Amino acid sequence: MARSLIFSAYSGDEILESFNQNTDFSPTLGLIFSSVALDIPEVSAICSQMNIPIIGCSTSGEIVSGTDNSPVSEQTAACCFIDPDPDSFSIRLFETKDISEKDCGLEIGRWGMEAFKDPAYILFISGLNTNNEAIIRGIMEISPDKTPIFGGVAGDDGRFEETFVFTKDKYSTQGVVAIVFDRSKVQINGVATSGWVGVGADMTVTSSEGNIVYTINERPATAIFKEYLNVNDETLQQVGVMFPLLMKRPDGSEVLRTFLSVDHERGTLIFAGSVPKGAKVCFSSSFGYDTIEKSISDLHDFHNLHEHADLVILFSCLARHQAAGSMVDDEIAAASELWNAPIFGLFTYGEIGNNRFGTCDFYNETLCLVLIRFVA
Amino acid sequence: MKQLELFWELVAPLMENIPANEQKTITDSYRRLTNRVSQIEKNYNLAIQNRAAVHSLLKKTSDDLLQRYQILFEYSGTAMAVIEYDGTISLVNSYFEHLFGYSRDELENKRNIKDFIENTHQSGIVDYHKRRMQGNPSVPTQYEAQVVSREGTVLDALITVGKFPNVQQSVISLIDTTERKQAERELEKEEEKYRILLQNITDGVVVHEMTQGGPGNFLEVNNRICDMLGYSREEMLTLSIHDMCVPEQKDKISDAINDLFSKNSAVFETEFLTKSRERILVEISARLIDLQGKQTILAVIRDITEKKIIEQEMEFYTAELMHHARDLQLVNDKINLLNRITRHDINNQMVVIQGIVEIIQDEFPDPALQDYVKMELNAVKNIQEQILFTKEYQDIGVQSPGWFDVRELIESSQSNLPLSDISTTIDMQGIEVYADPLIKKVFYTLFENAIRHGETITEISFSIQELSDGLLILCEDNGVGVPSQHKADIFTQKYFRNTGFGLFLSVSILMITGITITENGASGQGSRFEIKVPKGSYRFT
Repeated sequence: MARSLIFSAYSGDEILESFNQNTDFSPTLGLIFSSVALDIPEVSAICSQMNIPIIGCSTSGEIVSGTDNSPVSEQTAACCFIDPDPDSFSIRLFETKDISEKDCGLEIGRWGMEAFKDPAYILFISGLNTNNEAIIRGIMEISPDKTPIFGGVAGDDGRFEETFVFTKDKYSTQGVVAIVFDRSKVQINGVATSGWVGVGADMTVTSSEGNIVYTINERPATAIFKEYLNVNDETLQQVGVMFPLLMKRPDGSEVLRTFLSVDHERGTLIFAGSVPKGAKVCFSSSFGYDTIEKSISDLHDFHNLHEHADLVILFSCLARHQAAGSMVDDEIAAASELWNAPIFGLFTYGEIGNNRFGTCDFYNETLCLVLIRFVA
Repeated sequence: MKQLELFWELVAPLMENIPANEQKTITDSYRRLTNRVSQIEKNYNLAIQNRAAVHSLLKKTSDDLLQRYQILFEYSGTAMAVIEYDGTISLVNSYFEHLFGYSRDELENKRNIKDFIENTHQSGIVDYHKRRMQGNPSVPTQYEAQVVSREGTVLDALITVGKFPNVQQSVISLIDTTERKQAERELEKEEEKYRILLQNITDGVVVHEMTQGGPGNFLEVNNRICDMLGYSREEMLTLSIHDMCVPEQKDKISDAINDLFSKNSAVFETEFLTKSRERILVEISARLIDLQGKQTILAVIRDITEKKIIEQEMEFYTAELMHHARDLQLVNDKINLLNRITRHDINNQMVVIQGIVEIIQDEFPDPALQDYVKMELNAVKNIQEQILFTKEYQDIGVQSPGWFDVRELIESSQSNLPLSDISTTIDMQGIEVYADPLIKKVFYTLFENAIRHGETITEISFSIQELSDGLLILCEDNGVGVPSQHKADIFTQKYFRNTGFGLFLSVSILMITGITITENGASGQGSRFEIKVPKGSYRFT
């Protein structure tokens, strides 16, 4: 079992100070989820002083359990340092600026397959116009069936301006940082649970391209959202994240899609994942307590399948925090009680995880729980 | 937040009096506190925005749904109404107005649904409504009833009712099924008609499905096939044609199936086993048909056991008849030969006698002898005529009967007769009679008799008249006619005047194919012969 150091920090200096104060063990890997309030380039620069591989991303709230206070904080950095076998993992930052999301996913997949025969991925993705689903599809296309892929989309405290991923060497506002584990040495399992429910009649996406939706029911996508939510251009993004579209796929599966960017001039919405033309969609909403109850129930079910973990990482959608408020503490507490392991995580703009059938997908509005267990 | 800032303004001056490290701790704490308060304020404002958005979303989506249901209600294509607890109609759609002939204003909150239910159905439907309002789940949600329009027209309707949740109201939908019901009744009549036809047909009829493995079980059978094979209808429907066919003839079924697929029909004979294991000979006429989308075989099955026995008997008797006919022909040929030789010899002898008598007549002028000679010559003539008669009579019935055009017979009969002063009218065309080939002599005789005995005759006409039991060929003239005291004798051999042989032979010629001839003209007003041809012995061409 790997040792871990998990703490919350309010500044880059505090991160370094806490890291340096640790004398119990020598970490070999660091994960840092930091609010943009901490100045991510500065955090990245500070990380370079730690001389171990570090990956991280910006957040919309941070999760650190095991303290006397609420596990949820804002404008801090949630830091986790562990000491897995350095040969059991590899990290890398991929830029998506000059490459399609799908190709980026293929590149990540190839890199992972070269690194390990049987890889498992944890990803953090930055950028508000990125089709995150396409990245996942790219990795899945080149990887063996059922390859574990988990992760989240970086946030920026709900500002929807600029998000980051970083390593100790560099950072990117349009990139992916990935850590690939050797599954022969590290077991990765996870589950995604939502609790959002559809509201109102079905609508049809009448014009879209990838993750960009132009029209719904032959009307500009922004007009539909503004009309139904009674919001203006200024508040559309902030409020819209709470009311994702529930999309019904041809295979009968349903998935929530949140837009992370708005083109007011063209009336288009840029969603975190693909929304194909012709898709049937409806608004969805969370009713707070019900959502948390459902996720706790799903966590119990998942615990029955996977009882042990050395580390638990939570990727929780920003909207869950906003919808359920302090009730998100309950689901974090439930996870903590069930696995009795260090828990840390972040609030994201999108989640990557498995549905209850074990199929990897890109989600919004979910709590994605990832269990890491070091075998060797 | 503003209060916190005011507090800091008060605290800040005091900070100068404490050590720097404590100042940093307090300043950091204050900064974190302000951050936290700022976040709480932001989240609070966001929560208010979200609440407003939720309210808007719910209102808009509920408005959408309401509009959708209003459109569904209005354009459902059925008469719809919302019914209150006491049966009052509180909302109707246009189709309801149209169906019952009332305006919305006349209906909504003014009329009770029971007013529109036909009397005999009223109490039942009112009871359903009451029980439904009481939450009884066993009340049917769909039933048929009759409703009455404003004009008093009784309509058949299919009624579907659902109760709204949490309120004492139901929604009712009526589909006017009057035309459909009428069509169903017509269809039932048609089906009954076909059922009666099927069940009363004298041949067995079966319908069976075609499966990949061949003919399947019977899908339909009529009473006749059940009687024929001794099975009940229920038993028959569990069997297939393979169960009926005798083992050694099952190949015929396979051959017939091949014929069915190549020619769409097949006719064959085979043997069936009855329930009591008796064998019956059947003739099967089968067709491939499409019945309600299924490829099926319709087969008509006739019990030909009796027919086959009769056919076999017929063959036997026909052979016997042919055998006897050949014997008769042989006998007839011998008689004819004998007749010809005898007639020839008699004629020769009669010529000798006639020659001797004529010599005596010339050589011996004694008046007393001349009387005897005349009597002798007369006797010779009579013998010669009788010999001639035997020759003609011998030919009757020798040749097989055939079909002859009556007009042609009449025209050819008159061609060699001196009819210059007598006009002939033939008022018929395209009539053939089945008769002995000597029938031409009949018409010849009629012409010859008319010329010889008509005296004042100037016209002969032929016509036809179809009766219920045959055809009359009429031969009428305007001569003196047949005296009533001789009418019965003209067809006998001995009579009439010196021509009795002609009509006597005519009767015999016609009788061969069942044709009769009578004379019924009024004496002094011309003769009228009626030749009556029985049904089947004449035809129109």
